[in-house]
Amino acid sequence: MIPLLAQMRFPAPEFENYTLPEMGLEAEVPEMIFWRLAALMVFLVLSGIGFYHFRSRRAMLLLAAGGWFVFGFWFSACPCSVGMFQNIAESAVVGTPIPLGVILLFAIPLACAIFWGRLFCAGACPLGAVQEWLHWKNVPVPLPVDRVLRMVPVLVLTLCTVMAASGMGYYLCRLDPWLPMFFAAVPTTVGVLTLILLVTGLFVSRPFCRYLCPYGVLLRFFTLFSPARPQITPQPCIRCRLCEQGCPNGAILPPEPEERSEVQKEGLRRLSLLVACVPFALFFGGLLGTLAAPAVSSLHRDVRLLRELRAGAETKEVEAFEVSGTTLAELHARVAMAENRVLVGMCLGGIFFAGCGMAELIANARRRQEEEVYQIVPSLCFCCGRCYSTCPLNRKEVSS
Amino acid sequence: MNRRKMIGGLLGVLALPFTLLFRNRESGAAGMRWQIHPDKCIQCGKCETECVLTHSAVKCVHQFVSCGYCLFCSGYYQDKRIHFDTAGENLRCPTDAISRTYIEDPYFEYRIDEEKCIGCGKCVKGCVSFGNGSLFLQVRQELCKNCNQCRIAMICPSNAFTRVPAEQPYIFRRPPEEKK
Amino acid sequence: MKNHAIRQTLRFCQGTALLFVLFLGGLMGYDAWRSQQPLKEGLAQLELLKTLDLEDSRQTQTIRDLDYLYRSAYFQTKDRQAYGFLLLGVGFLSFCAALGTEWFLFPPKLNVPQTSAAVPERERKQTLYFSLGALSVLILTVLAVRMTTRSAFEEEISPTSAPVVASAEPPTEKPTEKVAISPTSPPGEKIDRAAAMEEETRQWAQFRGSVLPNQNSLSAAWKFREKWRVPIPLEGFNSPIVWEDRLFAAGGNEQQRAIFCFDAPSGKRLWETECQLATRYPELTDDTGVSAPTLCADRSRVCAIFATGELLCCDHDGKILWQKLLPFPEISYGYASSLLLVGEKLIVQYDLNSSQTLYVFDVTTGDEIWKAARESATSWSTPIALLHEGKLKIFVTDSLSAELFDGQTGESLWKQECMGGEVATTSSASAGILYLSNTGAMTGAISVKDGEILFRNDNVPAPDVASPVLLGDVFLLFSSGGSVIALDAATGEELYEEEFDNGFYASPVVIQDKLVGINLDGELLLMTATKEKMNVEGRFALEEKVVAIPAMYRGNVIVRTFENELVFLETQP
Repeated sequence: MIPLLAQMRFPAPEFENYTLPEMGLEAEVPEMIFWRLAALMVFLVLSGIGFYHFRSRRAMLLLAAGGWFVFGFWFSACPCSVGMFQNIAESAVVGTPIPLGVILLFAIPLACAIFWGRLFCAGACPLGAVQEWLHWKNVPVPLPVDRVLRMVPVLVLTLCTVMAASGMGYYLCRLDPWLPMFFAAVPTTVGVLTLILLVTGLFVSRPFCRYLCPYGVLLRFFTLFSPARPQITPQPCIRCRLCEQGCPNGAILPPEPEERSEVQKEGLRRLSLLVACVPFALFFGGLLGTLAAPAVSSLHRDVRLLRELRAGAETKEVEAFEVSGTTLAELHARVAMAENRVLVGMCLGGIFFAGCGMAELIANARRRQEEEVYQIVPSLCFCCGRCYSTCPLNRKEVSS
Repeated sequence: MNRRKMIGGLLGVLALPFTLLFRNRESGAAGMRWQIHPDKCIQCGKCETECVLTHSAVKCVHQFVSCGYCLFCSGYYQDKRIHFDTAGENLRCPTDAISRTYIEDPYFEYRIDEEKCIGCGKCVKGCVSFGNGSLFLQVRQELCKNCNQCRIAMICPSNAFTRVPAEQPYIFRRPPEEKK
Repeated sequence: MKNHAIRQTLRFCQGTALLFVLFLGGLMGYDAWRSQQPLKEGLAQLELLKTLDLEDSRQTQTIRDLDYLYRSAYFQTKDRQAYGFLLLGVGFLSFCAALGTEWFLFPPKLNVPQTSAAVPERERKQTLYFSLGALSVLILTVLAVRMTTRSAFEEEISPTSAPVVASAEPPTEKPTEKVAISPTSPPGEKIDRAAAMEEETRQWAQFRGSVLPNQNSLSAAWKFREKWRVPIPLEGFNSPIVWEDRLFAAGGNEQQRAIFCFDAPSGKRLWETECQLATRYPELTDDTGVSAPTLCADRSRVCAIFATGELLCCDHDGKILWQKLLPFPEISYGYASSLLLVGEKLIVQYDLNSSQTLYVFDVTTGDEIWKAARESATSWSTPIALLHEGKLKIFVTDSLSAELFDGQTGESLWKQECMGGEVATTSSASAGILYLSNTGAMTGAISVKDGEILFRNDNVPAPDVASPVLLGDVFLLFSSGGSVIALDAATGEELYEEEFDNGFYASPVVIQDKLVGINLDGELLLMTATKEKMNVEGRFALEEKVVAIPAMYRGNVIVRTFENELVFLETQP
């Protein structure tokens, strides 16, 4: 790179009686990430104890508040596990150096989810804690709508991963709606989103976690295979439906009665049709992703720069390009690579999204196992402990 | 057991990101910090306004080693100045964050008052255009929140923001050990 | 009972905290919205002032004051915002705490369970339908996005991405046709002077319409109907100008000076652009005011000058392209010379009490092309441009001399000290001869070639406000008393004299081969003149005092009245 400026136009003076002052910059900054990791593990363990051993809603509320304070304010809110998948994607494709702490921050909550469910959401995520404490009056989301909206986080995950992997920066962090809460700054676009989320959060439980959070998708996936099955009550269920109505996150499903045989048959037909559709859906998803690729890549800085250069715009970017000494051929090569990465990424992303969508549809079309009692679905459960307190059998006044 | 195999597989998947540590060797164990590469910076003024902090974490720093101690500092005085005094009309800095003290004939020392510096880069522009380039913008790490995605980095027109290892969080225009 | 009291207290806390957060949030939002713009503008103005004359002690004092003001306002705003955020955060945390504590202390009541069980089968079907709906929305979005964006490389090949060339053809003259927005071109463009001057003749672009003879169509019957009437927010005596459908006028007072743009067909005010460079306000008389100079416009720009020395250039949407502060104008009555625009050259005759300068600026950038210090006497006259021997020449008159400049270089070609009195009128030129007349100076003709006085007739009363005009071979002098004197353009002999009921302040203008004038009563006259007699072909009484030249617009006439209103007179068949 050619330096922008001719340096040392004037020689350094020879002083008789003067020593150069220090620049006043500390050589090293303290690194907090391992303290943060330790705190994360402590909070995960505490959440596990509170959820599985004490089975207490109050403990979970307190832990949420603690997590909010520790991870939101004690340590600075960045970096948090939610956005780390972007760092991993960028590092894997672009080759950006990645510190161990970042990988651990990403992996620990997921590893925890494999064994004990989404304890991270309950106790160690400041974003979830805000919504947990803000929830005022519950307005239940109808199950079909909920199921469709659950796909939005998958879309966010796909797009953010592709963008990060093609070197466009971390759009999730750029558009982070919780930024005003932890950094005391309101960029206008983000501010609107924050306001919407906060107002929604008063009525709908955890709108961000359920309908936007890309990390939640990963947690859901890893929780699918978790051996831990939280029980609403150790006593025999009386099927009062109270826990189902009390769960604002739609994570408790009722037992399913045996259907008439013609209905069963119809269900089976639908299921086989969906399974047959899977290859087409994957193809179609890839196609859609490919179609959307140019729009995504037009957000890339090099692509934008090339466009501005062609249009003869007089932007700061063009000015910087002109003094940087980069040749147009180099820029062309960079643009070609970026576009290529986005194209491949979007194609794969489309396939991934279609796969997730089909999995969701098939899971929805399948009959649940015929169980007698109300069951918590671990992949959707935020371990908030509400069902413990709504189950009449757990209440002292009733059980005694 | 089927389930046990499954969990083992998932843990294996989780272990995959760790391979990145070996692939991208230069990464330290500790974190990375955001920093401005002074040679790429074009002083567009966005550092002042885009930072998430109310007072931007980007400030001007002065590398005294490369300073010419000029009588007429083009980072201190604006282009059309007519007197070399401290009157507002002659100065470049909009917040009066640079102080000028007499050392010995004909040299003057220029210091940045961090409290007042807003990171607009006007003095840097003056210094690189006509002077030695001893003034440049840096992210002050004790102020920086180290966001996962720096807002300024995302819109920096010259792409001057890079991540640097936390052990060496500043990029100097001239290596600091180099004296004379 | 105790529980109830606690619950009530918590509810009260929630309400208070919520109200506090909402109130403070609103306040901070308003504050941010209100304080951002002034700060930005303050800095811009400070930077601009620093590039101006720093020798002027008043100016430097202004800069120092503004500098201090900006600095303290900047930090105060930031501190206020930081403090406000802290309070907002505390308020929000208390709200959440009060909400959460209620849940914490009082577990939800056990409701009577609802008996109607969910119907899983129906829910499954609904999910499928909703998924299909969401999928179609997704597909439509992707397709829509796909249609609007292209890959950077596709763009390169695609022929449609070639820059759209703005149509250079002159607009067709159909009175009913509505032209939306005149194509604006970027600053720094190359202006073809001949084409621009030619185009201008169909517009009403500056003082007395255009440099070349104006070719606007004239109302055949000379009957009009008032279509609309709008006030101009600020006072001024400048004449309105029109480009396509945009009508421009300026106005000002001590606090603000601005260009106003109106939609000519409807009279709707489209925008106004203020100029706030001046730090001092000159002494002015009421009958001159701060905005006496007429504006000028071309297909992309409109420029105005004010008696404060502010020179402003906007595009047709009101965006400031450039602005300047000329040296402080100390001149009796107030600065009043109008702007002259010839192709890319914006000519400003800046005759003050102590110095007389002719500036020529590049209208695309605002850069000075040349300037000539004239060392003559003050004037309120507007320069004229003429093409002589294929070259652009600029002719100026002031209270001492008449001088001709080379338009390209600014070289003075000749200077004739033949003037006197207080010169406010503007000359006319035809076939290598300059005709001029001003009371106290001279009435006569000068040769463009060498400045020789061809004839001089000081026996006739010369005009003092309205500029004389040449129509064919007759040179007409319109006085503020109401008499019109016709001179033979070849010899200077008086041919005849006509009397009108009232005098002329607004200069009469030649359009095609006729003369349009308006006298102080607002009587709009259509005249022709030969060596023998003068014919008034049409009269229309507006019955309001008028001192500004009416603007021609597709056969219609737009008048600025003395009461500072724009009146659109629509032609009647």
